[in-house]
Amino acid sequence: MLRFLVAKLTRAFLAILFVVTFAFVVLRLSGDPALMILGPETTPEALAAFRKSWGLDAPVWQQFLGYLGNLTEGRFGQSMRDARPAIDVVMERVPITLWLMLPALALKILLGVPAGVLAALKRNSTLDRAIMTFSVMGYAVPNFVLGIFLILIFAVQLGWLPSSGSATWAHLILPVIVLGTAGAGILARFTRSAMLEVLGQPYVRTAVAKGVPWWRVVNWHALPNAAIPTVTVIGFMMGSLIAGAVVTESVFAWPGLGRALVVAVSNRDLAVVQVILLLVAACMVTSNLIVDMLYGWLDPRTRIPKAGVGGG
Amino acid sequence: MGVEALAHRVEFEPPAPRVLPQAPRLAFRDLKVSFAAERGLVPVVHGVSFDVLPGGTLGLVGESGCGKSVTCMAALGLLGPRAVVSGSATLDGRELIGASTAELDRVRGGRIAMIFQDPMSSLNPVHSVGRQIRESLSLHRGLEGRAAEAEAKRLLDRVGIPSAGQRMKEYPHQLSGGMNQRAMIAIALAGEPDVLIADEPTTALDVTIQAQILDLLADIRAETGMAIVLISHDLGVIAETCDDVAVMYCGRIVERAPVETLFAGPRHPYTIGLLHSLPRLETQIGALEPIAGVVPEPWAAPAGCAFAPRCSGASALCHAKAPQLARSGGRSVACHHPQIRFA
Amino acid sequence: MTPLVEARDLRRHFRIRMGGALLGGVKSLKAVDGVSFRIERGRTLGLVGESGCGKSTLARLALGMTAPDAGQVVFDGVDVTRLPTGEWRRLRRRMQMVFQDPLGALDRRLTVLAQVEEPLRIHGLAAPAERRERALGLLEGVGLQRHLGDRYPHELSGGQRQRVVLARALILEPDFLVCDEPISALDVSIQAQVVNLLLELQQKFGLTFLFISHDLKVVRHVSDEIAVMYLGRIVEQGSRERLFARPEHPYTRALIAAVPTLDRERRRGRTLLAGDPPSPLDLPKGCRFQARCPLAGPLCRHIEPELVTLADGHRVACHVAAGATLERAA
Repeated sequence: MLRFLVAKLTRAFLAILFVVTFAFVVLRLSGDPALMILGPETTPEALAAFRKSWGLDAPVWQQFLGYLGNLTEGRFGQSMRDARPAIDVVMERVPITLWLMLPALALKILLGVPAGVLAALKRNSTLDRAIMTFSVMGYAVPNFVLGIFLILIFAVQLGWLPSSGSATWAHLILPVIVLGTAGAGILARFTRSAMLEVLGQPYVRTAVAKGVPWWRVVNWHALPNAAIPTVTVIGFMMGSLIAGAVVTESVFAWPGLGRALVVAVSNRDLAVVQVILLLVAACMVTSNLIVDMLYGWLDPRTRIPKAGVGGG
Repeated sequence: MGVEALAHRVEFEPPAPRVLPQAPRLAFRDLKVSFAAERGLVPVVHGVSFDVLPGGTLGLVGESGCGKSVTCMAALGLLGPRAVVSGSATLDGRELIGASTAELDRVRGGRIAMIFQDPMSSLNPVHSVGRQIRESLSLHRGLEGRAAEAEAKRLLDRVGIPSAGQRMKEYPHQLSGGMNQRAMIAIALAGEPDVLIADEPTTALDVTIQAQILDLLADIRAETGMAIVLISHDLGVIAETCDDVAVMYCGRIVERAPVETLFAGPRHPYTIGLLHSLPRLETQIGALEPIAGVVPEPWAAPAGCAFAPRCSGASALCHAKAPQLARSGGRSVACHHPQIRFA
Repeated sequence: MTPLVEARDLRRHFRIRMGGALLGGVKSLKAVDGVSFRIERGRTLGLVGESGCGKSTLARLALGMTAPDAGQVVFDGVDVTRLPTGEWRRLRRRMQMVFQDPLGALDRRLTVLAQVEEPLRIHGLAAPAERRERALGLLEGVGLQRHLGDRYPHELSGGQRQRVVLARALILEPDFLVCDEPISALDVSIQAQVVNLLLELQQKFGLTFLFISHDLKVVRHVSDEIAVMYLGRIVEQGSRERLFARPEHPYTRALIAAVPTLDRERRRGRTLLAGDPPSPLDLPKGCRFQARCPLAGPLCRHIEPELVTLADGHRVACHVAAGATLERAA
């Protein structure tokens, strides 16, 4: 178990380091922050002074080492635009995004998993085909199209719901629906195929031959096995909790991290972009770790090694 | 595969007046099974009739695809929605074909238990062996908690699993193939069934383990008096365990007789062919006499006797008309020209 | 007479990583642990044993497909194990293999004819027209009609596929054929056809066989000499007649006793082995068979028996059997 954990953590650390390095290099190469922040009419002297004060005049590798050094001390840099710690700029947006994404994740799971199970149980029926059609539509229609469509109907035409902002729970409904349907569609498809695979396994036949009632065959024998692949997909969705809403937040003017990222990128606010990317990477890596733990819990074959190994 | 909700087309025949010394426990009458496929309904069992007496042992022997497993699974409603089943299979006189799901759930595992070929994949990988036995105890005998625990341990002991208390907590992947098949037998015994259907129970096991499992089945039968239907492609395995044999070919029983009678003097050319095509330990080594040709696919079954294209003694009659299973002197043969040849 | 194939003290151990446990480490799986045999030209050595005894690894070693950790395979006087790749490939033409699963051994995208002539093409032998003619001739030789050459593997039955595999193995006119469970995947009524075909081809081409199977009945039927393997070692070896008439090793006896039989007489009074074989990762000290052996004594728990040759040339690796017989011989 320890060996397993150490290997996982090392891999997680390397992944984060890779993201940090990549983001750093790309950001430095993609445009001059001084010009973006101060504007094109600024004098060369002012630009030079700006660069000097932010350390942008040093070679990239020096800047990078300095950045890494700061990271290990828990300093994430200053936002060039707001002149305060980038971490503060980012962290105040996190709850706003989670307030949107957690209900969306719940919707994905509560809608997608049962729909997938139902489709598998009623394979090739009209219900199955209907569920699969909706699920394809769910993830084939881009978020911004669905978002604008919903705004047009429910906000503009009917006037039932607000079209943008985050003031009340009513503001939540449309963006959560937009975010939830795509994920629910993906999950439904995955759950269906996992469930179909499991329902064809000999142990399901054994359960029926034992006289286990069908509902219990599904709940106790099939679902725990089908959950193993489905958890992977849910884990991936958890990983994108933080960053998955860039488009949707823009459409609904939701003041979350996605919006913050768009603004920071267009401003070349390096420190803020880097903190957001770091957070995204950390989130991905953590959810991967959680998935691995869940595997062990769900599947005794990964938790307990086989006693003897045969080999021909 | 959904195993629920079968499409049934039940044709009731008036029960023929029979004078039997003993009422059959399981009785199959003209059982037919077809599967819905792209090319239409493909018949795989063409009307099979046989009895299993209380405490009796019947071996169903035949090659893959001959319908021996399908026949048994049809009786328990295990074939899924693509199967169309007709005819009758009764347990102590009660019809199983078309019975309600609730009724079938009481029969499955309670009155008729079944074990399968590959014990490793037949057990659920995410539940411990003990829990899988206790599930049956709870369903069929209402045992819960301590009582179920103790009984599960007793059953594992009974099927010869050493340190049963420890093994109960283990998962199928931690046990060997033989141990898993013993655990499957323990699950089958949990419902105290009257009939055990064993579908190729030793095919996936090594020969020394196979012998252990066959011995265990014989022991348990002697102890509990339950009837056993053993499905196998291996005549030797059938001979070890069963008193009666039915040989199946292409969805029909072609010969049925007590084991000794059948092996001493098979009548159907297919049975004769099977006996002569396999090497045996007790006979002189000579050239094997294979059966020519291949088993026809179910959707391309010949019009007359299904074995006629492979049979050296086939006549025009054989190609035109399928023979019926005819009874004479304690045995039955479905052949227009039954042969007598001593194995 | 020099044998065509000789294996000398072959060993192949696999390192298995034991994951999961805190103190998990690497263990050694002794798949083949000191095996020697000789096969004379035109003869058949049958190799029996249960799953995990190392017989398939031994097959790969015999063909040089897997390099041994120790030991040699000598084929027609040449040490195969120390051969440069080019020469090994030339020698490999004369050594072919037939596997259990014919569908897995064939390429689904190529016609039967293309697969049968492929070895000729790979080795750059014969012109296209001649290749085709030889392949078609061989298809007939293994009992397949010529028109089947245009079919794909999935369009054939299991028995027909195994015939294709055989034709492909034989097209280079090998001397040595390793058959690893060649009939296990076939239907009962087809098995005999393939067994007969193998024996016919052996006669016709003077082939030497290493015939591997878990099925004693088939091994007895096809072999001149038989070796019984248990957990990586040969525990008994001798002529077919001797081995079945008077098996010496308790494992061989149990193996023979365990074969289901139509003969009720033979079934009485047999001894069955209890328990499972130990894990090949945790072999006991002393004899590997001791835990299941009805005869095991103190010597067996400490010292691993060597394969010794008895007075009549029969070989057995058992303290009890060898001792008893040596006394008898003396």
